Amino acid sequence: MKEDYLWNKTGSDTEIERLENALKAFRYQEAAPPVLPAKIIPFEKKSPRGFFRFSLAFGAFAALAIVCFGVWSLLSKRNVEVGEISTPVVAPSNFSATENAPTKTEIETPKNLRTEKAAETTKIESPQNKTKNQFVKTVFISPAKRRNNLTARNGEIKTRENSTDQIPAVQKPAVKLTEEETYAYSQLMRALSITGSQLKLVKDKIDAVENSR
Amino acid sequence: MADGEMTGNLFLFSNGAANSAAENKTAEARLIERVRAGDEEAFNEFYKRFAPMVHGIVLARVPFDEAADIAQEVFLLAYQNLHTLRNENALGAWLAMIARNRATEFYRQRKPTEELTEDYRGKTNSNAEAKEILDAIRALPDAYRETLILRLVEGMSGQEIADQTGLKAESVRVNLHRGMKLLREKLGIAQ
Repeated sequence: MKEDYLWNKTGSDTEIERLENALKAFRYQEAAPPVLPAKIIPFEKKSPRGFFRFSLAFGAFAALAIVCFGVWSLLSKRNVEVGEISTPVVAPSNFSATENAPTKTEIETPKNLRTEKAAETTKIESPQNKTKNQFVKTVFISPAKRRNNLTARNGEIKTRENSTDQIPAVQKPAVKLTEEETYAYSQLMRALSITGSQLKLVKDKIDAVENSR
Repeated sequence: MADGEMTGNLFLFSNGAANSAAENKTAEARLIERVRAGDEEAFNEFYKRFAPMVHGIVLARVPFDEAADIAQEVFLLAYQNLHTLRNENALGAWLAMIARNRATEFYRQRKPTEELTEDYRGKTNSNAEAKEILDAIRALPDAYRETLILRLVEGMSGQEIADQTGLKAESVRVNLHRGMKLLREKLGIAQ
């Protein structure tokens, strides 16, 4: 009976009733509910993760775009500098045997040789045979050899092996490059010049830091 | 009464009790949905239903003068954090946990030198006796303390305590019985 009263208030238990009466002073007094925030915002189960993901992706894309633009502008500036500073790379398409013949061949020709005459008569290369993208240099050979050299009359380029050693011709082999090789060569030269200018910049910065110390 | 009949009656009783408990749980889930939707009336209903339980749990830990204010704070906290409630059928247990945490935080925020006394100035001797009983209950272990305060102070029945706090009815029954036994020993009350 007592346990029933303790559990569900059925029956009676004087002691428990006495305790209940004494402790009634501490019972919860019915009061108004607390005041909620000014605006009751309806609960939305939308996850904020989508928004955060989108903003994160956008920010990453923007940062990447800025970095790429910066790198591109830096490289394009350096390319301009390279174009101004570095030694001109002979573009094969601009090379002309007759009009823009490298002065090197003229300079290398010894003085005691009949260079003038040789130059007049032994120009081998004819513009007609030169293709647009071929990297070709003019080779001067002696008049004596010219007589025996049927191919010279036809305008072929002679290598060093075929020429006599009376007039030391420009000892450079004639090189025929394909279009791809020519492009690769120009790209390689460009990369080398860029690297050189970058190394120079780094060196200047290091020097500046050391000088400031 | 034959054993079979008794067993049958017990089965029906437990089934009925289980059914009513299940209905209560569904009603709580519906209530929460309405509160989440911003229904102020639903929040008031929610407050009225659980205020005695929250007050009792807080009273088991903090002075009587502070209990009412802290109980109100508990409901505001619950409203703000309703989105963290994963199981809508465990609303009572979740609310009880917030009440316990808030009561613990109350002591952490107080300065250690500040004396906490309950103001009984001008009150009768019976209130002194009530304070003595309350102090004795507060000195009991947590499980017995809360259950006894909800039963003796707030006047809730054992089944109501089980329904609102999320405890099993059998656990509440055991806590009440053992807690009462310890309280009698402390107060020197003969059984």
